[in-house]
Amino acid sequence: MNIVSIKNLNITFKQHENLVHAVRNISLDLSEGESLGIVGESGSGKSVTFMSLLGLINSPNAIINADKLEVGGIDLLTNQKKQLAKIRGKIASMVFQDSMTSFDPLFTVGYQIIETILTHKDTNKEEAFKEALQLLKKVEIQNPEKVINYYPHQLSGGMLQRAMIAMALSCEPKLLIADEPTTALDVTVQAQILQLIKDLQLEKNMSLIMITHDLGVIAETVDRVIVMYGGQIMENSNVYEIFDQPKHPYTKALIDSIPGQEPGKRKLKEITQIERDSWYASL
Amino acid sequence: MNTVLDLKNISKHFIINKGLKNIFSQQKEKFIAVDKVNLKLESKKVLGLVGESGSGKSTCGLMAMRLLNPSSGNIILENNNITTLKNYELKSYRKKMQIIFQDSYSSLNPMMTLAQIIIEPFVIHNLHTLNERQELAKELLNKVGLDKTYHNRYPHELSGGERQRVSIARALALKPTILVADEPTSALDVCVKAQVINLLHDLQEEMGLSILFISHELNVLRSLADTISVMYRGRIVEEGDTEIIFSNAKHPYTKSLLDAIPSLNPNNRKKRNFISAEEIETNIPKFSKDDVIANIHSHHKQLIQINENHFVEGVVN
Repeated sequence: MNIVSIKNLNITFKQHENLVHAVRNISLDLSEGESLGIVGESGSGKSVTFMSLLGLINSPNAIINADKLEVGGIDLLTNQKKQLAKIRGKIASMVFQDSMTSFDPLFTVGYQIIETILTHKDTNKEEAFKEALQLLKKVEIQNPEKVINYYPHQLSGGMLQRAMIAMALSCEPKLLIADEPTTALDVTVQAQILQLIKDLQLEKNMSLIMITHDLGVIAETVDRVIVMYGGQIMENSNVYEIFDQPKHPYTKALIDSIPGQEPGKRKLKEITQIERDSWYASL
Repeated sequence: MNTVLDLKNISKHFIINKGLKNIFSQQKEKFIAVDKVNLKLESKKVLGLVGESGSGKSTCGLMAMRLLNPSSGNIILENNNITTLKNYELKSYRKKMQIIFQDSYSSLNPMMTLAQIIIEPFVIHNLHTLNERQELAKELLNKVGLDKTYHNRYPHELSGGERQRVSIARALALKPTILVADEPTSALDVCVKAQVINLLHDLQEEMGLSILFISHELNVLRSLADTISVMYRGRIVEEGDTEIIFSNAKHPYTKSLLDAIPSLNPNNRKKRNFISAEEIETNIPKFSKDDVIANIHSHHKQLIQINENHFVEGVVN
């Protein structure tokens, strides 16, 4: 069964008199337990596409059009508000890039995780507390008994990101959407968080959507890759092919622009305006 | 070789305020951010300083610029000791070294246009006439790859990569010989990161700059730096030529940094073993007497020279 099914999705933003086409005619399917990577530079529409799956685009200026938009068999196009409560947390949940602004600074980390559990599950406070403690242990936070009473500013970036993963997993979702979960982190912490996400995905047989601009992250975590540019899908193939034989010149340029692949001081591949113009023309 | 900037045995201690008890007690609690570090920046070379957050690498950069005063040690800039100079005495030296910060958004004044931002160093040092300043600003914008029509814009109108270019233009205005780059590419997209790295590469060759490049990404340093110093908990644990560090790292912390770089080959996915801080401290490399060329005892832990350009913290059996 497909956990995500999108057909001809278009997202457009009204800006003064102009229309900005953020996402154009995207179709994709994701089956259960599969991991999918989305690559693209900032502004390529990668985040917007998947925020629409959780109904997070509710600006009055946004126009969402699609032939089909389903998550876990629930149709998002009709009767949105009621459906969203079913999807969020239980079927799909999301981990954001900036963990510092994703937590409320006025409440403890534990309170916010417990709040999520109480909203979506039929339990009492004591049970939820125990569950939150278990979750913090699961994401390898040391001293979870202490950390559960910490405020977000008392934790480091890596620890907060772990806490956010714990919160996202609290209702055992079938799909985890990770939107640049490691971009703001140190290299060693990044490697640890990626390992954690990968392990949890295999253990719980979740589907995973990893949104990033870093092909290194992609090579480490997912099975299938979609390359996005200018709101469109440029390339959709499995992770081995993307690195062995990138079909689209944009994919190739992305791979070549990663520093430190070869020894010696050298200049890196830059994407020129001429190349950009030619890709835009082909859209 | 010609050393332009020499940090000798430099340390920085921060005093931690833990309420009234600490304020009134004689023994204040100290945090040692940088612990007797030696760094030499050679003329027209790029020195990469790498380490995790909290390792003291940025503190080193700030002390080199005298934006922070070291607790002990000396800063030698082109054979002049600038460690204890007063601010007004420092002014003439400031022309020789400039800094680029990580967060270009907060390091550019939002109330000033780009032209005003780039001209400000001339105003402070009282250089050139008004017209010349305008011309130079346009020239500098051009040099960092921005259109000259940009000079009337404000920082918020630019993208992250463009703002970082403006920081670079401002830093280059006074034609410095030394540039301290404090994680200038960490907040940028891959494509933009490549552009900024290439720009620094070109400028370094063109203007003969010596760059202290601070970063937590070893792979960025590989394509830019001549030598790399690895910092861990306030000390240098390994230093050497870039390729030596990549091919023949000895210290467990350097190894863990190298291991954390994502591989671009999905066939090579590996289960990583993360080593804890205790393991790094206990697994210090051991060398036999034959390997050792020289010892540098700046420290309770010693830096051992094991090759012409390769130093590792360790013990000798």
